[in-house]
Amino acid sequence: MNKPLKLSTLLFAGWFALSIGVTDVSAEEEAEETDADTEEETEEDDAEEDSDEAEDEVEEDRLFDVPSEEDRLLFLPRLIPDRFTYDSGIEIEYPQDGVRGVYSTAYSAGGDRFETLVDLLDRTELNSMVIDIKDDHGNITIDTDSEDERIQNNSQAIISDVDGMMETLEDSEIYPIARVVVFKDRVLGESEPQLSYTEPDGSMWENYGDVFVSAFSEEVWEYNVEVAREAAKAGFKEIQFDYIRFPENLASNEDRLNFDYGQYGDMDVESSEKRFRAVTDFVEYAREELREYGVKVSVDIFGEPVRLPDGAPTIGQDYQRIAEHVDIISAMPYPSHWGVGHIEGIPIPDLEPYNVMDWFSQMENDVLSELDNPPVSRPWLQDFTASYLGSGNYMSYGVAEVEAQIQALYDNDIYEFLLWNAGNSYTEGVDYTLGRDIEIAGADEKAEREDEEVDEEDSDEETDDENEDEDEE
Amino acid sequence: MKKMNLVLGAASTALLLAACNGTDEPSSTEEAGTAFDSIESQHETIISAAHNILEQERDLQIHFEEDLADDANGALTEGSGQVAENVSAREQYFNEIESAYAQMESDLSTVELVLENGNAEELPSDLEETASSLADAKSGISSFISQYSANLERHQQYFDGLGSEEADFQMLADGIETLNDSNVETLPAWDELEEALLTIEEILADFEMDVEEEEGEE
Repeated sequence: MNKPLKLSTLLFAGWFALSIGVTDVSAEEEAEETDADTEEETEEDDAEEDSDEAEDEVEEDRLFDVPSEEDRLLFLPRLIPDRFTYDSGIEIEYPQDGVRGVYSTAYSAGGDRFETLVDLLDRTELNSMVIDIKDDHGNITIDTDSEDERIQNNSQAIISDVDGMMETLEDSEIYPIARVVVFKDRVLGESEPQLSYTEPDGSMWENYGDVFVSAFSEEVWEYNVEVAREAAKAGFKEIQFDYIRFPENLASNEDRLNFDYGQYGDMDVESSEKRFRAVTDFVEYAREELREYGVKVSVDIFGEPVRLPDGAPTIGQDYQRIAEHVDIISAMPYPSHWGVGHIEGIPIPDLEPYNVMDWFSQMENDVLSELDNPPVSRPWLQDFTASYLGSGNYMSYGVAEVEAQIQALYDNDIYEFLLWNAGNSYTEGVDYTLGRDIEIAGADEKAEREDEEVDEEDSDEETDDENEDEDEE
Repeated sequence: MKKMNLVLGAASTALLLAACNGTDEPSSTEEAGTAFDSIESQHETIISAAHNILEQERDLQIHFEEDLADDANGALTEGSGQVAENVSAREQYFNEIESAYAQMESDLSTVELVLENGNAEELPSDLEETASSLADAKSGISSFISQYSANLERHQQYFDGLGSEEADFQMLADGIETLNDSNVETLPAWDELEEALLTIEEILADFEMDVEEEEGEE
């Protein structure tokens, strides 16, 4: 930009001897002779240069780099202080050295097994519990104050005393994670078939014996997020969405089944892309809706999508896209879930727990490293024996096999994990930190508190003794 | 526009002083020249301050996030954080714009007085037209001042509110939307400001060239 000369100087410039140099830059001064062979190329270059110059001129004409309407001045940060979010009254911090958790059905959490599980966590370096708040059938397992009619209709109060349960978890400093099974939902599907997939004759369509509700349906999204809200209000610090996917057999049946595509119906994209978008959009939506509650959002995802660069199209899970919108991602790379011959170099995966988890962790780390803000990886580990694989294809899982999987994670700098056992019966004697010098979250504070309490008791006793002595005197 | 290089004689100041008419009312070409110099200077001040405001706005999200992360130490509640500094800095730059604009108006008044009181034959022929054009152009600055002032006040209110005990998630989230909307509403004012400043720059440059050509003809 040309800078104006001082005006007062110019106003009286005629009084003085001026030396004015004028520089005109003319396009005609450009060299005219060009090599015929390179003329076309040069013209292309010139065209590009002209275009660049035109853009530069536009830039030059602008004084300010003013944001556009699409540029947001502010957006809600990821980290929101607790004073802005919902206060459930339950104070349980995220484990400083990472989550090491177990899964509990609602029946376990609401029954006698709960005590056993709490005892296991109290005795070991395990520190978290994933509890079904909406289970694999679609039952909402706690009583809530929600005014949502669907929530009221589908609640079973399997966990009859959720407040008592939360207090126990708080006392034991067990980080509570609410598992919400989202799109596999027989309860909702059967009560409201229009939200599910139905056969041409109107009967329910099942996928390997399971009923799914449509992941395209925003009504279904909102219903599940409302369940999550109720879990947050109860005191859960994290919501883990499971079955955030389409049924495996939908893609091959979608032309004959009845279901609502919702907002995705009019999109001019392949149906697989619609599925990817729906699943990803749900996760994004849920996370935003739950910001107010200050809970972390995690998801369970198959192991397979991690190794598919373009995601798993039939079920709509694209690992990277989903990972962009969650705090924690829990893949399910159980050794038993990889078919025989499915992994190169690991012919029978269930027999090689370390190698499977090592192979998977490297792959997952590679994928996560491509993200700007990767979530925490917290894979599910296999603490069960997959005898259904048949002789020769499985082995009994115990201490060594569980520790092998943990070792593989640690060897790949992954320090969080969850143990899965459908019956919630976990292997005893496992060293969950494998001798690593992992600081046990809150241990120091707890020890200090206990020391103080002991000191106070001693002091009280001494005072009592003194008083007794004085009385005697 | 032609690019010009100008070398000035060393005795200019003395001769310029000799052009004063000794009266209280501004009437001389010299006083008009000083006023034009000032207008140019204010023009530059406004550009610089506006750049600084935009830079602060670009940093606001980072400052906001850092203050929220430092909430326990009173970054927002005590107004001791980076957001408070950001708003304060923008207020300061905004005040610079206001002051520069006020000075610009005063300078134009001086030119008008010169036109009223001065000897028309001694004044550049297009001085009146130039002054009139500048007076028209500066309205864009006035409009910006009016709109950005309201925008800045909303920012101040929002961040003060976040520091209060009553602050909750809704206030946090709704306020962000309000500020974003406010910012979008302010965008045309930025365009107006930019257009005004570019126009002023062009008017000043044209006037200089005309004066220089007039002087060259003599």
